Amino acid sequence: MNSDDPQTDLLAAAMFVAIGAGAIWIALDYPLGSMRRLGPGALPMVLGVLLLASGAGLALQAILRAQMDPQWRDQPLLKLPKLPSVHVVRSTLCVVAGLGLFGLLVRPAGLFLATATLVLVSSRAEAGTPIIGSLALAVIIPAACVGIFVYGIGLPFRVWP
Amino acid sequence: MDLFANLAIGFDVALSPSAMLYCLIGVTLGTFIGVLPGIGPLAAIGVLLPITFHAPQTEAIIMLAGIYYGTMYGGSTVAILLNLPGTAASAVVAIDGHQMAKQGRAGPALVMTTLSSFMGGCVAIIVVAGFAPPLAQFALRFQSPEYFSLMIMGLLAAAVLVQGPFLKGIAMVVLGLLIGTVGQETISGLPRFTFDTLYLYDGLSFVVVVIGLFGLAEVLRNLALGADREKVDTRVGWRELVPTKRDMKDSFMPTARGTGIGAFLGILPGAGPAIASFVAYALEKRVSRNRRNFGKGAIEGIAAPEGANNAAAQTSFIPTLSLGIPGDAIMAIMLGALMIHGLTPGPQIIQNNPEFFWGLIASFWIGNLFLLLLNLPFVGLWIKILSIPYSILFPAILSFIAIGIYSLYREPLDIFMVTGIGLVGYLFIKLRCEAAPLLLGLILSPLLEENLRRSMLVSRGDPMIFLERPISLIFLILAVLGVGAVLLGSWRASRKPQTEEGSAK
Repeated sequence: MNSDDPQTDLLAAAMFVAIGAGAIWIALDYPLGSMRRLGPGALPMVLGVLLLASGAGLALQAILRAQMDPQWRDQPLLKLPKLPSVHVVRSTLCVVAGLGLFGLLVRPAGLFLATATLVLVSSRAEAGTPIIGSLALAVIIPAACVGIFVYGIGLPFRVWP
Repeated sequence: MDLFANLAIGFDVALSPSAMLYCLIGVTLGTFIGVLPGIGPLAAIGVLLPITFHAPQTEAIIMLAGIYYGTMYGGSTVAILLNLPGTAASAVVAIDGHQMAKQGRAGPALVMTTLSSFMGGCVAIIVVAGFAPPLAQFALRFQSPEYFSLMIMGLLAAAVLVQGPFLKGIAMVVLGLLIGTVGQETISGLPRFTFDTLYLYDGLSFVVVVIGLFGLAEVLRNLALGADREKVDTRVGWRELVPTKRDMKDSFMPTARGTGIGAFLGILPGAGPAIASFVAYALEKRVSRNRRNFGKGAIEGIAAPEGANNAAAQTSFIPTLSLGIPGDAIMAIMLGALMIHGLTPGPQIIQNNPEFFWGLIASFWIGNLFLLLLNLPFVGLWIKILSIPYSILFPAILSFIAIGIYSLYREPLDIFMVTGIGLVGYLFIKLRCEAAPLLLGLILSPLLEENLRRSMLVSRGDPMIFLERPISLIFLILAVLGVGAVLLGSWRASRKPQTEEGSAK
């Protein structure tokens, strides 16, 4: 089994520890019940502790591996992840914005316009796509989707505002 | 014979025009999405899942099963032709399959994957039909402690089978279980982890999680790769189209052996098609007379894992349907889909819904037949799909995701939620945390809590109940042994490369 580099494992461990701690913190408010009658807080509490523990274990394992393996020993253990490149930020933002707009528009503006907006915005994720290409897609894809979902499957969507 | 009478009921259902139509649509859509670059079976099922919810109960599951086979087949096609395996299972087929394609023997390779799959499927159906009812009978005796221990075994198996550290797999399972507790608690009605929002009262929708973690996260990852995305070269040699007589003869025994291994491993919770492929390939490499050609385009290297793959894919329905415990992430999706359709998997499902159960089993066979009859002539077309540029593809996939989710509950908040979960899924990919165990935890969480609570009530608060009951004890022992074996194996493997100066990976 190939293992990942210790730095990545350490970051993952930090995430697990944080979520585990958060879950315990919130679950403190829920009644634990007794061993005989487990309350609503019992399982979340146990799971929170398990998550925290496995995260801590993972961190320990990563640190030990970094100490022992000559491949990693000379590197700083806590390496901050590289900042995402402009391209990654752009593509992620375009997708998130496109989906967000779809969610906002689908009720008031209907299926066609919401999908068209989603396609138009998200297709800007790739820097190489010409505007005219995005516009063309923003007509073709919504038309095809309306065809498939509304006329093909017969879902009662409102297509227009 | 009961077996044949039951299968007759099944074929009656599966041969009805509507069932066949949905099966055909499922298989075709599955193959279509399965060959799309960068979309594995999980992502494909995630994207197509909402569509199936608008079909009638039995048809919907038949369609979903068809999608599953279709994506697996599509995945093998891409793996062989372009050496771009989408899943662990197709990675095995790619080893020899792509070599064959390079030698101009892509045709025989593709035909053989279909034939081996078909044979694996045919045998596996008999196994499913023969084993599921007795297993369900046996499982009728299970009570909460047995179910609890069985689930622990399945979850541990899922955790141990991830790539990378075992603790990461455990943490992901636990995280899934934790996410499963979100929402109103069943007995006291206390809202848990809802952050005072009404939206989370019913818990996180399983479909939203699947589509976010698998479908959307895949899209984000592919987009982020940008120019580094693998360039697809669709020029493959087509010197021969059909396998020769010798190919057929050479493949027969490997297929049979692979099928046997797959059928057996599929039944075990936590195993599933990927492991079956690996084991079948490894065994074949040892026993084959042609073993020296393995890795250089040996047809045995395709036949064995494909037979295993497909047999395991079908027998893994046995624990899913008759115990209600899914073996892997795909089966977890199936289970979720069943529950959304109001079917409760478990020992009673065979008795209470015989048409559904046997109809689904018979549809496996018909789905495989469709794959055989429809996909072979269209291999050329599937390859054309591969050359669709991603810049056109991904807005279409996103539209499908958005409309699919919105069609379920008409809830715009679901769209925002799936976007958030997609981002989390992308983070998981970056941190090399496999999301499949999380899904298994998520789907089993309510069951686990219910059975734990009931067991503790029965035992008056004594946790020893899980060790005192023999069947429950056996599950726990198997779980510990399984984890121990895998950990020992990986510990040994990690020691070996160090002597060869870090040639791991």
